[in-house]
Amino acid sequence: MRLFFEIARTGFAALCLHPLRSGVTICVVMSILVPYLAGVGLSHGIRDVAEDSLRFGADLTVTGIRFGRTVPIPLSAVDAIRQIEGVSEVVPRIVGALSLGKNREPAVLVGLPHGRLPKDVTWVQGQFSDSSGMHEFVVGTQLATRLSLKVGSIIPPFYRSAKGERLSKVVGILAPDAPLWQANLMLTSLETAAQVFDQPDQVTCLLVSCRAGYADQIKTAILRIASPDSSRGTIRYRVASRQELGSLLPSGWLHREGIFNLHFVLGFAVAILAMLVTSGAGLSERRREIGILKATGWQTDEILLRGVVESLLLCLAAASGSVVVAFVWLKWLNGLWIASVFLNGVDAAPSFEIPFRLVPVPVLLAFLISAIVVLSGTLYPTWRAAIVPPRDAMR
Amino acid sequence: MLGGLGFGPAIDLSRCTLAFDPRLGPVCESQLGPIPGGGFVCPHHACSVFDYSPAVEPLLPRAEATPDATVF
Amino acid sequence: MSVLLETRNVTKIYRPGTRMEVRALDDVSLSVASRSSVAFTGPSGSGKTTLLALLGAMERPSHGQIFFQGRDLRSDSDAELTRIRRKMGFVFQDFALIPSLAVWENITYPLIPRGMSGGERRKLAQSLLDELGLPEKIDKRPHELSGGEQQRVSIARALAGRPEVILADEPTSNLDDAAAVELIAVLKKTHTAGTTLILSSHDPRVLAIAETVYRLKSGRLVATDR
Repeated sequence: MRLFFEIARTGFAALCLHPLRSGVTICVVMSILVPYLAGVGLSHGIRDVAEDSLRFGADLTVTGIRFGRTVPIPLSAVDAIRQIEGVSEVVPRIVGALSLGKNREPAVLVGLPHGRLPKDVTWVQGQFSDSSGMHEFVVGTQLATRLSLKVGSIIPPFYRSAKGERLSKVVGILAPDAPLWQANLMLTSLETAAQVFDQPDQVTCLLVSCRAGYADQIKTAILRIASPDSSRGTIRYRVASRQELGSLLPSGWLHREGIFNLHFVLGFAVAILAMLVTSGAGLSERRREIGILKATGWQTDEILLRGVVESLLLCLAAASGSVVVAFVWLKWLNGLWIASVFLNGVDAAPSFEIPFRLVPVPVLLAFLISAIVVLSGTLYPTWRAAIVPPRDAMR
Repeated sequence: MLGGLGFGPAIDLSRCTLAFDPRLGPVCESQLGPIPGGGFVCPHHACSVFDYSPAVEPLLPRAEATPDATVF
Repeated sequence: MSVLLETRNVTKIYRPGTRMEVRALDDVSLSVASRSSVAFTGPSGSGKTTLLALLGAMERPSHGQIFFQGRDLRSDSDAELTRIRRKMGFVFQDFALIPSLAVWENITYPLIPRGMSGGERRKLAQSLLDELGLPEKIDKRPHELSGGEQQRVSIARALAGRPEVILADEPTSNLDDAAAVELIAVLKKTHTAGTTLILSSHDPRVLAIAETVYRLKSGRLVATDR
């Protein structure tokens, strides 16, 4: 056993004796593992906040359809739905896209009835006052950064409406730790949103809260309602329940995250080749060293044990380093650059907290794949050199 | 606070409503375009690791009152 | 005196069956007695290094037999050949030191699989370096040593395993005169202590310490002096 450890120790020593070779190997593996772990970490982070969005969202979300496409719902539908047995609350909401500023920054304008606007929520700095006579907005962190908005900033009219335009005032900024979908948000009253989009008495969706056990029944009832829309025909409804949305959450290997994993497995295959090439840079040195060891009395299995220890230490260093770097990248660097690769619309340096979670399976997979890559990249040439006569290896 | 807003890997509606929140539009508009491979422009189909299927069957309305079509 | 190494009709062909075929050794038969000193000489390409490599179990002959202490090496496995190499010490023309290892580690690295601890190995390296006149070089790297010093380290490595035979391939070819004289003195001393010497060289000073000199030409044994 002592002999085993003595030989194993030379594997560790070999790691330190060839710092350049070891460094290159670790860097090659890390360059693949870090984006992989960061990507999967972001994916799990989004999943977590998506689950929160479902948990704290309405039981049913009702939108209108015409020709199979989403259209606004007349505000009058609120009363019709309130009549359904089991409905405890119906909140109309406007969600629309617009762009602001000379760079046409995309924003998501959300309008809620006055009573539903947040008065004292921890992730809003500032609050609605109702007294300024201007449109009041709470804006998302990224939008505020991009447009240099602060609490109290006045926004000149940025829309056209039949009722005329008004100045707008920023009364709050969403905190950086608010969920990511608030990054480009402009939160305001339902009336203001309707005026900005020039869609009086129309809303994008209705948020329906149900008494326990009534959700399915209410959904069926809503689907049977058809709202006549003056002379423009009838609007039918689409209802999304919390359970239905929950079932959309990613799962299985053929899902994108699974496909991402598969892509990275392919990436690792390329990495193995890269490792063979990079280790080829030191291959003649490695071959000669192995030839000398064999010539001076080292057995092939002893050389392989030394190589295995060296490779395993390399793979442990590379995988551990990747986990640490991925964590630092997501936590302290807030997903600098990589978040913008995986999240549409996010700045290279995100101004809000990027959600992420490093879960055990991808981390373990990283260790496994790192082991495969390093063992194939370094142990294979070692084995090749160890099985030939020493004189051949030393040439 | 907002009755549930946001679900996917996009933070605005500029490209794909579905990637922002499937409750607002359960189909991917980019997929409806006539451009071959146009789906790849959509963040839902391109960049992100996190996604969900655009074929949101339960969210599409069922024509319950409509009789089956007759095939001649 | 018993026979330590013997070759019978040994032929070594590189890249057989190709246009690049090289017959490095052709039908060589000789024997080396225990505690004797033998040298091979001949022009470049005459097969000296190949013969030394075959005698040192570093490669296998294409035809013929090699015996070590009466044992036919032909059917021995790779592992058995390695075990035989542990009874031999090699001194290479280009020293064959591992550049990243310190002198003491280079000397005693072959002893790691034989179970010698780090402390014992360092002690042994120190005593060999003292003997070879390099006591202060123990922690140096090979590139910090002169050619003569590197060759002495190479001899120290060969001696570290207390071999029954030392095989030295052109040991003075990379050394200046003074270093060559020192090295020859070390080899003589080693031989006097009872170790068999097998040398290959052009250097008449090296040949002078051999009891038997075999002359090779184009892979064939053409003459035996003394």
